[in-house]
Amino acid sequence: MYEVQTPIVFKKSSPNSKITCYLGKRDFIDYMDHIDPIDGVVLVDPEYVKERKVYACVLAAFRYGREDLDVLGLTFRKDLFCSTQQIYPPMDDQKKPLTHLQQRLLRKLGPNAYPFYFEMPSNAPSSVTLQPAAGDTGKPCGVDYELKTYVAETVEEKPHKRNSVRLAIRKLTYAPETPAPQPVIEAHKDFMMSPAPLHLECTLDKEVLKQYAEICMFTNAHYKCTVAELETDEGFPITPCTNLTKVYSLIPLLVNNKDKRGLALDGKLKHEDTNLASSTIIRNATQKENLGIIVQYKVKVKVIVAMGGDLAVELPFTLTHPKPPPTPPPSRQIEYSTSFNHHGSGDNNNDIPVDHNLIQLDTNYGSAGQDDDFIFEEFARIRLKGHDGDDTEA
Amino acid sequence: MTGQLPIKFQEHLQLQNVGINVSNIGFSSLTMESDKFICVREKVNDTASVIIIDMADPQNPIKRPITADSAIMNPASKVIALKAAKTLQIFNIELRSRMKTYNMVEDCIFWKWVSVNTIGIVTETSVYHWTMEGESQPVKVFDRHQSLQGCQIINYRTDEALQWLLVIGIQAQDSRVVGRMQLYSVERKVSQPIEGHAAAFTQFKLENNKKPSTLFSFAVRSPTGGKLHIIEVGAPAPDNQPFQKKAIDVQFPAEAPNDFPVAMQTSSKHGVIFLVTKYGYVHVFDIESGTLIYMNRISADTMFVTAPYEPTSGIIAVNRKGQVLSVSIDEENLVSYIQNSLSNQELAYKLAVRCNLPGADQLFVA
Repeated sequence: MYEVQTPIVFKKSSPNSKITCYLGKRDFIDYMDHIDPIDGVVLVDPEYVKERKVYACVLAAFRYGREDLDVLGLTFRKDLFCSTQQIYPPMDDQKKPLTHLQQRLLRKLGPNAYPFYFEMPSNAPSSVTLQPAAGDTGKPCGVDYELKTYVAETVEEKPHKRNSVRLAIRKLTYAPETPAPQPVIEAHKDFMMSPAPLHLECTLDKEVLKQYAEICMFTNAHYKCTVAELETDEGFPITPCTNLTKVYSLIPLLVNNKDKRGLALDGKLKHEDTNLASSTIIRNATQKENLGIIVQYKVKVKVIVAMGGDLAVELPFTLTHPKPPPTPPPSRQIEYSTSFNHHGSGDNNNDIPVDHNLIQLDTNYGSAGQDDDFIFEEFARIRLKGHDGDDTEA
Repeated sequence: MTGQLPIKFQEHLQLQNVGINVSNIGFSSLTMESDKFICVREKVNDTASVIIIDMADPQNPIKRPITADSAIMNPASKVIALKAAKTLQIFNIELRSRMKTYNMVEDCIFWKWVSVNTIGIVTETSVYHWTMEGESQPVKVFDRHQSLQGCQIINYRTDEALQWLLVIGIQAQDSRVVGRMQLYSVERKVSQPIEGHAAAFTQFKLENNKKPSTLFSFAVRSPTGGKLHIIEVGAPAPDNQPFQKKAIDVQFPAEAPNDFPVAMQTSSKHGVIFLVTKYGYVHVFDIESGTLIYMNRISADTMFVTAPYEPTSGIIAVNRKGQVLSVSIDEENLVSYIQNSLSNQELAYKLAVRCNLPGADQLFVA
């Protein structure tokens, strides 16, 4: 049974209030087997729009420089993904089935509301923000997504600030549940002074020492940042021919790393705390250039050997959000297949392939005059300090 | 008081006025299991929903999204049964909870609430009953008779005690519609195929009996003409006089050569049979004698679903235009109409006594 709470719908109007964009969520999740579509509705004032058109555009870009440093007029931004649709007047050949949210919003908002729907390709980059240093101003670097709805004569025309709505959204990844094998690595170090080698075996139990962010673009700049470390000499020094087995625990937390400039974080929406960036899951090598930022984690264990140099091993690792409790399926109505292949097993009668309810009783379309349950919340975000103007995160 | 009709006619609702699309007003998308609710399934683009009209508050239908190919409302309470191919589910609407779910082995091709707590399920091969108690599952009751193979199943009904069960199907044959019925006795475990278009069971207490008799009435139009049969099924109760079976000609107007019976509802209270035909005629018969009391065309459009109308012991129907109408005995006029317009004193008296009705004062024989 779906427990549908009263939904919150985010809305934002253009500065001249002539178009308003409504979205059901601000985070769009990549579940590996499917990605949340970006679906919503735009409320248009047709008398204002007249013969012009309303477009919606999803843009993912990698911001790699601070715009306040731009003295040559260069923009430190590379577009990674862009998709534009004409929303009004609606294009018949682009008609898609309405999602549940869209149906309710269209019903609520009336005839001047028009739906839009974007499906992200599976190799689309995820939102990542590189943590600015304490004194940094300007928009942080990273990969960010923006949904822009605007009025224009043609699709080539540049949007104008007064009649456009810009919404910062995030694309986040949830890890697949298939457990990876426990990382193990071994290394030997031979000693010159002793016949027996030092054998170091390091086994990870889902802990992370180091974040290793690789910035892929034209130059493959690598940036390393230690997010957690532990130094110990308990049990050391190890005398020859002994085994020392110890379990070390490290918990990488953003709160312990607030001072680390350039640390990769999951894309920031509001000027609020986020978390250490999830590992970038690369499906195939060729997509690297389109990801902007690839985040990888490694554990490095270093053993300091007296008079002989150090022995170190590195274990790569995935840091990610745990998959949240099962969400309802993508907001599209489930097309119930009417041809179940029941293989004649008369005694196995409750083997329902998809156990969902044939009717949704919690929703209330109501009749004319009966209000849909929506809570509208302003999409707007706190602007960055010291950064005025209409080029905002929101 | 000639000129007064023995029946009254009432329009309850125009479905198109409460937002129902006329294309969804038909046998496959609209159900009316009782006079309490009407369910309409509609599909807009790829989104399907059910609209439930509470006849106690018909101006405020409720609409819910569904993924089902059939929806039937419980005759008495706000409980709805939905099916999608082999999956059957029952929901309590007020509690917003799913009460039961079941996966059939075969597709359910027709189903209907046969009582307030039992659904009859017809498949290609069998008939099941599913009661609402506890964890109960559908139980097979009997095998379908081969005479109904290839028919479109249009109805399933039972007597009050669920001891006599009837499947009704129709089939196009030689440019006419043939009606095929299967009557099954639970006690004897035997089936009888019958040619018939519409039928009903009635608990009717004959005048001199203490207990009611279970009467089975069915109407058929064959190439030779129309007939109404009324017979008692099962053994009469102890001390009861058996009911003498009746076979009555049913007249179809000359201008309706292709007309045939489509529905039948009966009134225990008045002891009458309401017979509805494809072209919108209603015939009212006395159940005891089979005498035709009244006949007229009440709808220009086919009434494709009917149910008993409890407030007046009449019949409620929906036609293809979405008019919801009912026909009932007019108790004020019935006796005098029969007496005067039909000149049938005996029947007038019988009905006056049976229903405790006025108008027969002159008939009481000293």
